Amino acid sequence: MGSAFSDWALFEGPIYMGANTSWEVIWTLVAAACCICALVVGSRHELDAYKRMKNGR
Amino acid sequence: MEEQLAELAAKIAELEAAASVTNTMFAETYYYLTIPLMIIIHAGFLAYEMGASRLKNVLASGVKNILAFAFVVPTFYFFGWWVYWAFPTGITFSAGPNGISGWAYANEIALPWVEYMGPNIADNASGVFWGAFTLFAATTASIMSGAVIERIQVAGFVILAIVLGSFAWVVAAAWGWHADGWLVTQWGVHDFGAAGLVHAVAGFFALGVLINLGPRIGKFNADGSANHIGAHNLPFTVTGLMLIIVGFWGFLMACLIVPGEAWSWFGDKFATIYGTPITLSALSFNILMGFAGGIIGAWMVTRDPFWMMSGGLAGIIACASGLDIYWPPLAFAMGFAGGALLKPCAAFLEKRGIDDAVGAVTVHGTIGLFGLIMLGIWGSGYPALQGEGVPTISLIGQIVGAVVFFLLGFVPGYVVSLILKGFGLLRVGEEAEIAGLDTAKVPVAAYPEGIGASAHPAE
Repeated sequence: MGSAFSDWALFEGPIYMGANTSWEVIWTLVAAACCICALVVGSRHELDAYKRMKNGR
Repeated sequence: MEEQLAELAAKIAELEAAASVTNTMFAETYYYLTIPLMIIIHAGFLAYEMGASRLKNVLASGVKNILAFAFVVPTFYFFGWWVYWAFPTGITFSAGPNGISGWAYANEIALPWVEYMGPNIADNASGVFWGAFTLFAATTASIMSGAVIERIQVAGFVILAIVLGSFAWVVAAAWGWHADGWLVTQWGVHDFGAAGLVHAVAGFFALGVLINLGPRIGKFNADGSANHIGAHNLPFTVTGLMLIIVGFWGFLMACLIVPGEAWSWFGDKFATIYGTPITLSALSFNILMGFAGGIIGAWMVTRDPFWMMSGGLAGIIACASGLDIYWPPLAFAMGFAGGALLKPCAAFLEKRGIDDAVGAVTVHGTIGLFGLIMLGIWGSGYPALQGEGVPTISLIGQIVGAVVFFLLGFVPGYVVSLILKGFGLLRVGEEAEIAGLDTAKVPVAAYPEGIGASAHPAE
C-alpha cells in the first residue's frame, strides 16, 4: 500500500495507509464482509444447536 | 513607547512561562495517569489467572502473579531502566544518532544513584517515564505468569519474571522501540504498540519455560491426547480479560510522546516513540476496531467466551504495531484475523505436548509476531522514524524484527528455566501438585465455606 512521502516532519493531514485511494472503500467492504460472515456462521451454529436440543441430542 | 514595549515583552515572557508550566504539568500528569490505568492490566491478569486455576490452586496462582509485579518494580529500578538506555546500539553500548543512548548516557540518567532517579523538583519527566516503563515490564511478567500456573515454584517463577521483565524485553525495547535502536535505524522496524517487543517476547519466553516445566499432571493421556482442565471460575477469568483490555488503553497511551517539552519530538503534536506523528484519535479508532474484530473473529471460530475475550485482546495485539497508521477497517480485519487464528494456533501447540494453561503463547506470542510482520505488508514504504533519509517500513525489516524478538523471548526463557530445573527450582513436588498448591503452601483458603472440590481431569 506504501506511502508517497519520505519525511514525517513535512507531512500534514491523513496519515493512514491507503488515504485518498480506493483502499479506504476496499477495507471497509472487507470489514463489513467479516461481520456478515461471522453472523452467518454464528446463526447457523445457533440454529443447529436448537435443532439438536429439539431432537433430544 | 519604550516603556510600553518593555512592559509588553515582560507580559509575553510571563505568559510563555505560564504556558510552559501548564504544558509540563500536562505532560507529567499524562504519564502519571497511565500508571494506574496499567495497574488495571494487573488486576485483570490476577483475576484471569485465579479464575483459570482449579479450586485447589486459586490463591497460589494469585500469590505468584502478585509477586511477579512486586519483584519487577525494584529490579527494573535497579537495572532494567539502565538497560533500556544503554543497549539501543547493540552490544557496543555506543551512543546512537540521536544521542540518547549508550553506556555513558545510561550511566548519567538511569543508574539508581543518580539525581534523576528520585524526587527532583527540576525533573518532571524521569519518574513518570520510569513508572510507565516499569508497568510495561510488569505486563511481560504477567503474560508469562498465566501460562505456567498450577505447577511452577514461586522462587523459580520470580527469577524468570525478573529475567523477562527487567532484562529480556528491555533489550527488545532498546533495539526496536527506541529512536536509536539498531533494529529501527538499520532495518526500519516499526512496532508502535509493542506487539512484537512486549507481547511476542513475553509469549515466546513463556514457551521456552513451558518446554522445561512440562504439562500439569493429568493434562495429557498416555497416548498423547489432551484433557481439558477447566477454569474453576470462568466468569472471573472473562472479567479479568476485560480488565486487561481496559488497562491496554493506558498501555497504548503511554506509548506516545507528548508535545511541547524539551524532550518532545514536536511542539504541536503527539509523536510515537520513533518520533513519527500520531493522534489519540488514531488510537481510539483502531483500538476499538481491532478489539471488536478480535471478539467477532474468535466468536465465529469458537463460540467460547474465554476465547472470545482472548480474541478481543488478540485483536488489539494483531494491529498494535500499526495503530498509528492503520485505516480503521483494516485494523478491524487484522483483529478479526487475530481472533480467528487463536484457537487453531493453541490447538497446534497442545498437540505438541505444550500445556499453556491460558493460551498466552498464542495470544501474545503468535499473534504478536503476526501483527508485527503484517505491518511490513500494509505499511511498506512509510518512514519508520523521524528525520530525513531514514529507513522505511518493509516486510524484510519486520521479519528481521520478528526473528530477533522471538529469540530474545524464547532463548532466555528456555535457558534460564533449564538452569532452574537443574537446581530443582522449577517444578513443584508431585504430591503438592496433586493435593493442590493452596493446601501445600498458602496459609489461607480461597473459599473457606467451600464451593466443591477440584476434579482431577483423569477422574
